[in-house]
Amino acid sequence: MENTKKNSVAKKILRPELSIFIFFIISIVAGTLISPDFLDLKYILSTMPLYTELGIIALAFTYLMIAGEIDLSVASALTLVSCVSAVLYQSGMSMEAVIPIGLLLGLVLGLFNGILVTVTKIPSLIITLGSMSMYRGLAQVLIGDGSISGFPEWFVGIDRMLLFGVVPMPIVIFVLLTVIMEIILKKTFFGRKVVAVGSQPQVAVYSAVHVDRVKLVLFGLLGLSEGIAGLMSLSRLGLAKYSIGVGGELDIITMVLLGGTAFSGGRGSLTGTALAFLVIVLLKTSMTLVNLRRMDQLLVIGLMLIIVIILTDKLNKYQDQS
Amino acid sequence: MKRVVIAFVICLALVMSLVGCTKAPGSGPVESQAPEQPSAAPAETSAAAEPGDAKGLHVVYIPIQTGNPYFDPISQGLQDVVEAAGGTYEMTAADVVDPTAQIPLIKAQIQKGVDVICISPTSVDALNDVCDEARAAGITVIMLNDDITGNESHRDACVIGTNYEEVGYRSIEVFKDIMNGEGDFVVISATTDSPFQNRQIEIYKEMLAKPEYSKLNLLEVVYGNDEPEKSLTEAQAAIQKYDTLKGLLCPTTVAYIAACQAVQNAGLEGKVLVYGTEFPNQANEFLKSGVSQGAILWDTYRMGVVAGELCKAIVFDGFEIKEGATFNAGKYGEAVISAKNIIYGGPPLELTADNVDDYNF
Repeated sequence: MENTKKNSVAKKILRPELSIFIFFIISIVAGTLISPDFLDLKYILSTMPLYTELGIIALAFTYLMIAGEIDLSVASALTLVSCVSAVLYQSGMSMEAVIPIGLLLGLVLGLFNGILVTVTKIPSLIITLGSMSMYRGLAQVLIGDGSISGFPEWFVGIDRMLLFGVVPMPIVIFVLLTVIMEIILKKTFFGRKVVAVGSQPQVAVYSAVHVDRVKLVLFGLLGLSEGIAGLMSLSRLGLAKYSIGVGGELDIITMVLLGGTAFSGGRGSLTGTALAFLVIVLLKTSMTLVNLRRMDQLLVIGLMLIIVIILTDKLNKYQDQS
Repeated sequence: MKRVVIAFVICLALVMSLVGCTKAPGSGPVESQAPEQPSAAPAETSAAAEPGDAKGLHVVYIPIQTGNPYFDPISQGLQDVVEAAGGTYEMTAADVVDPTAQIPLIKAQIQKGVDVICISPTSVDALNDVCDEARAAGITVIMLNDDITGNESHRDACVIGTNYEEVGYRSIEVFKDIMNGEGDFVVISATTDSPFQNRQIEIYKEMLAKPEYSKLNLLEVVYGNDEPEKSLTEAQAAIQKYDTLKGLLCPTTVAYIAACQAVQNAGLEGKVLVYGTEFPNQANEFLKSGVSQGAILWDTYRMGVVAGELCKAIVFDGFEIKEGATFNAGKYGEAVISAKNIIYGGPPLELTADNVDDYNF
């Protein structure tokens, strides 16, 4: 009796997210040790918006990976949304009209991948490798090597709009999305369908879950998050350029995997992804403060990713056993 | 399993205490430094000397990206000057050429409260806000090697290698001498809308209109798009097409190499002459083997030294940056602030087979 009670407590604590939580603590301790300027909440809050766009995409990406799919075109789609929005504004459209179009474009870019993946049954890794180049190429064709700026004052500088005078708006949006999406995943029928599609697609088919339809919705959702992120980057930087966010897809996938989501699908959490986002921001912030070379930074993050994935795998197995 | 719970609680407590304890020293120096610096920067020489000595000289250089050897001599020059003056020098850079990748790097320097940030900007307009933020915190922001043209009000000064106009005038002058003042030549440029190259070509044409250049005949301007393959094809085509071709003038480093290769492949060394902008290390073998008769660029080490001396003047002597003012650039003598607070590192660097070994970049 007591043994099972102990087990259930352990099971609650030894969740897959635990490994990233441990790294969350390590990153704070390590950051504080390596730089005296690190532990300054105001500074950390002001650097977070630099990565929040990727964080928001990582949330929707978590859903997609739980369902067993992947999308490499995310960062390129972000750039394309911001470039198209910029071009539309420059051609005389009002910013109020550009925003919904930007969101819609994101949705379309996501659905484009989704349709190709579900119709052709070719692995999403391959399809989206193509769209990754295509979207960024399109952005470059659209505005060339230059950049577009000069947006209305109310639109520019979302990272300088503060809630309660301290929390930048992008972080507020990120936290809200994390909470809402976690509730949908854990508490709704749709959430259970997402997990079912990823863990046992065959069973899901037999139990009358429209696997393709769920995947399509998830690609669309991811696209929508790219739309939000694209407009946010446009607002934060006040300019659009085709080379913005190069390599962002790897940061996003790193966040999702660090958060304990299984690459093969069927398992994952938004809280984990949000924690992973925090860890990456804290690590990058502290390493940047001591001017650590970027290759050393990559080394640290890569090593952490490997440790976390092995640890998460062990924790997952423990959960399955007990 | 109780132990796991206890371990967990201890971890949490550790974090909490860390957050509590280090908060004060963490935020302390930042707040106390902020008001100190702006008062130091604009102050008179005598007044600035004391706080300057007390906090020393802390300079950070942010080049465009890591692993690009072009920036090494610039960094070396800066480092030599700053460290000789007893200051602290650091270099940090992003690994991708993303206009936004430099923003967190600059923010980190603001947080650390450095005295001067030198940046080779990846974008002319993405850094405006963060540069303003740095300057509001009392940090001097100097663009190095590249300027944020059109957004000059967001930085304090800009140090570039040389006056690019001068590079254009010197190029065509030297080219005329190499050609013995006469003959047909082709210009191989980058793309049709490359601003640097187009301005260089404008200068060539302006000079060619003068009587002493009347025997120099520009046949055509071709564009290699700064791609090695396309540039080589264009160079070979020019050699094929014009029997009378005597020279190739290349205002871009990619075309210079391509022109040298095309001449070498055709076995026309000394018959078709090559001149253009090129790095000493790349031009070295072509200059020595006689394929190319000369190259031109700017001294990147000198640019770094001049920027370093400027940092020293600002922090130690309260030097005020304004057009026409001069400061001591160490072994290179006096340096002058030109229009828009631009400082030219020095005259163009003219490379020949004789001096190319003196430079390593």
